Amino acid sequence: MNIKKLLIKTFTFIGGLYFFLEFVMPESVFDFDKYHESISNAFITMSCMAVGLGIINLMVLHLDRIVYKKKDYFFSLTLLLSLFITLVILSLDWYQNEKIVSKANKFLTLSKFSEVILDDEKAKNSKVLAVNIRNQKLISELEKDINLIDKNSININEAKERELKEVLERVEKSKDNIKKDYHSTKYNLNLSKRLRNLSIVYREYLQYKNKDSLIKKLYLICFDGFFNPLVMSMFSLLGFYVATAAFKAFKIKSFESFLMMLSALIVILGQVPFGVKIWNGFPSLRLWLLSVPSTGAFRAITLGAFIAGLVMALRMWFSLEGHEKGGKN
Amino acid sequence: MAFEHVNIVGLILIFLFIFIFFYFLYKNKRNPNLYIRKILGIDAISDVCDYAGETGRPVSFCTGLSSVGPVLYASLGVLSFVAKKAGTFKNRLLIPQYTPEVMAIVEESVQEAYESINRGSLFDKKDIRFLSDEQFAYASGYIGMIKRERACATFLFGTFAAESLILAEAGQEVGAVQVGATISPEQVAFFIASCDYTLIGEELFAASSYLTRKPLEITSIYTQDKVKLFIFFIIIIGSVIATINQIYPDLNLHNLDYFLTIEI
Repeated sequence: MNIKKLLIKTFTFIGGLYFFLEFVMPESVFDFDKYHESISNAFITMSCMAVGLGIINLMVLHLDRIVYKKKDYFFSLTLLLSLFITLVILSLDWYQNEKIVSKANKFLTLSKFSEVILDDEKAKNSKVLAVNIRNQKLISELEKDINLIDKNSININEAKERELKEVLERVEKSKDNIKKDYHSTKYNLNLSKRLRNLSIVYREYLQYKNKDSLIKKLYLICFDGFFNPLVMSMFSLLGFYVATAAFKAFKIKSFESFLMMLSALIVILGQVPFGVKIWNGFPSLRLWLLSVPSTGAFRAITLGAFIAGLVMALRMWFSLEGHEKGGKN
Repeated sequence: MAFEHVNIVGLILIFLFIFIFFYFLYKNKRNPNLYIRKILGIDAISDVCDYAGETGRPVSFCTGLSSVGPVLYASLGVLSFVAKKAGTFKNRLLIPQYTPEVMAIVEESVQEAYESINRGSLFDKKDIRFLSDEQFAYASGYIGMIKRERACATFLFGTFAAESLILAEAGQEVGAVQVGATISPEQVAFFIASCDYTLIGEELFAASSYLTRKPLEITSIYTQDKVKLFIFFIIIIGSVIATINQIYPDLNLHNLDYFLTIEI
């Protein structure tokens, strides 16, 4: 066995064992949560790399068509243009959101700083600077950040904006209390809570203000204007296809198809008021068909499939697969 | 100690299952003659490939919304068989993809299948197409691909949801012979209505073993049948106890689900 294969088999086994133990072991025996986030992040990273593979595949296939002007190359061009435009709009929207979050998170950081000052004071931590110096620094940073908020543009007639104004006033009050005596930590907890609240309200306010920006509008055109209607159109096709499939399924070609047709007829008649008019036993017959034979068949299929899936999972876990299933590399 | 999601009886059952699997694997390691009943849908796979060979038109193999897991691995066995047949008859094999991770595995499998019949030069990466990771965009891409390429045979093996009927009807419209296989009972009904042959539930897992006749794969089928037999007896015992409790309520017997509540 070459080293590459051995490595893959070892990692597959360890991975399977980890997820099995993580699922069944109680927290008191082993705290998996400590490692779970890092492991999940590793999986996310791998998935991101796989997305790159998908994009490369799209590019290779469609650029080839466009460059050589093959049949229907216009569709390939449309696809790549849509991909590029969506990518640009999404990136800009993401950047804009990141800016908003970072602006709002400044208050969250200050809130944490205020808490740390209080904790250090309680624990009489001598390794840090004196309380008054830290409080002064906290307040000066807070003033800088508050000054960045354009208070004149806050419209108090709007609920979101009025809320921000009120929260800001409360923060100012706590800040003034600390300013009166930098040596005291009496108001630090209060300031911390209010800053946390301000961070949330300020983020919502910025997002609210951002809704009229060009990027947000383009984003909405992309998704609400194009993407969602297209998805819904595809989904609505299903209605027509169900009708054609039913037409084919209801052709009585054998005894089995006769039974299927009969069951479907009973279920339909049991569902509509017209069926009750014909015979009032249809609803209960329909219910019996759905809850007894149909459920039995459903469970049998599901049970069989899950047992087979479990055997397949064991084969994967212990790397007992042949070459045809991606075993070579 | 209380386990999470499972109790001690559940854990014993899991380990018993693993033991049964390895026991039969060891016992039947060199016995490829274990009997598998005739499954029409699986026999049809080979016939459909032969038919595609006669027409010379492309063949499509769709793994649906499958992610990396047992269903995909079961489908890969069939894909490998179809790829070998397509390679032998020089049919193009189109494989639309929903997730990039699956695409990488599928690419490897198909290339290996072509190489195993010395037709590696026929393998074209461009025929394994990443369409979209959005359900209906994928369905739309699939319809376009099937109609443009006029596939003469389509295989729908894997996990499917609401798009199953859209995919199957697209094949019907171009007159392709279709084989559908999924473990979802809801989608099986759609495949029965729209496909020429349908594999129901666990038949999807049996297909690869049935086609390749490899001892390991046949042993898997053998093992799962033994486990199913065991579960069947449990269901019978549970039903008898429930019936006794219904007729003689004073007896108040513990049913088998009681064992799943025991903690140590």
